[in-house]
Amino acid sequence: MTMPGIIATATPWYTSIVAIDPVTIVATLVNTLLIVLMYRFFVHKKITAILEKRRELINKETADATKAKESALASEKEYLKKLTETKNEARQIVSEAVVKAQERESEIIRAAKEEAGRIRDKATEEIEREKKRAINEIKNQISELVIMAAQKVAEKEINKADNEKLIENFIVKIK
Amino acid sequence: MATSFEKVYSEALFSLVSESAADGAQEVLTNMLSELKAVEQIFADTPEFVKLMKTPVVSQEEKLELIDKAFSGNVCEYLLNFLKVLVSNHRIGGFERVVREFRQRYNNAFGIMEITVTATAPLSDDLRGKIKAKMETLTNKTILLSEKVDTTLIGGIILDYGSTRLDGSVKTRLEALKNDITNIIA
Repeated sequence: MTMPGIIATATPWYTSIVAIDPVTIVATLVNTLLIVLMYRFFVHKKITAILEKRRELINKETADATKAKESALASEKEYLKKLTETKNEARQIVSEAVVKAQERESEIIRAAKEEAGRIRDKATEEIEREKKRAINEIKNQISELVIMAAQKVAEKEINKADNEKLIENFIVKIK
Repeated sequence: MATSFEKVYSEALFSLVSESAADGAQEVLTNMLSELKAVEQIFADTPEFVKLMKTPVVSQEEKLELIDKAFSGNVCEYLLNFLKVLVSNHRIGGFERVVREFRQRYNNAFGIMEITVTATAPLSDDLRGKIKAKMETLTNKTILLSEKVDTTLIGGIILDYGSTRLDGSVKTRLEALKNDITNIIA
């Protein structure tokens, strides 16, 4: 098709716009290749390193998180174990304390009973001793009174003749 | 119990006196005993003299001089020398025990027994004779009686000789009775 008023030529006007220029194509290809090569040599390694670093960091953090979780679980387990042990220990301590308290109670009661027995025995002995002492005192007093009376009578009644008779009797009895 | 020193000294004196008078030993020994008793009495009456004899302040020579002055001419030579020996050997303090030992030796040698009779009053001659006769019969020894008066006996007598006591006092009989009564009362 030809535009009115325009003289038609052998090369249409749009040919310059959409024409396929091999030079352009080659240049474009070369440019692209250069870009790719430049990317490959200068940027790709850095980006790859950054990405690698990032992956490592993520992996590490993931590992740390896993470790932390495991540790937390272990700690929880340990804590629960310790708690159980502590509870058992506490129960045992209480149980031992109860036994000890009972033993001490029995010991105190036994000692108190013994002491009471000793006091009672001592008191009984004291009473017996006092009784004996009182009886002996009375006996002594009675015999002393009897002897005192006899002495008074003897002093009054024994005259010289009686005394001589006493002495003579004594002499006869000497063997 | 006599210690050895008393025995040694009394035996020495006894032997010396016995040997010096073989025939009339008893008489000489009796005289010696009397003199010993007299000196013992003097020492008992004048304890200051014995104290003086024992004190170390006075020298031995002075002590011997004092013995000479006090007893020379009053006691026999043996006794005078014996006293000097006792002073020289610092044994004068034990003189009383030496005399007792000598007396015992004398009594043993001549079969004499000393008996002390304790009564409420002095004994009559009759009783004294009866006690002496009875004890002479029992012991077969010559009895020498000495008397003591103790009115607390109430009645009866006590005979003491050696380590033996025969108690026939009313006081002791009452004491025995008292013990019997005390034991009888339940």
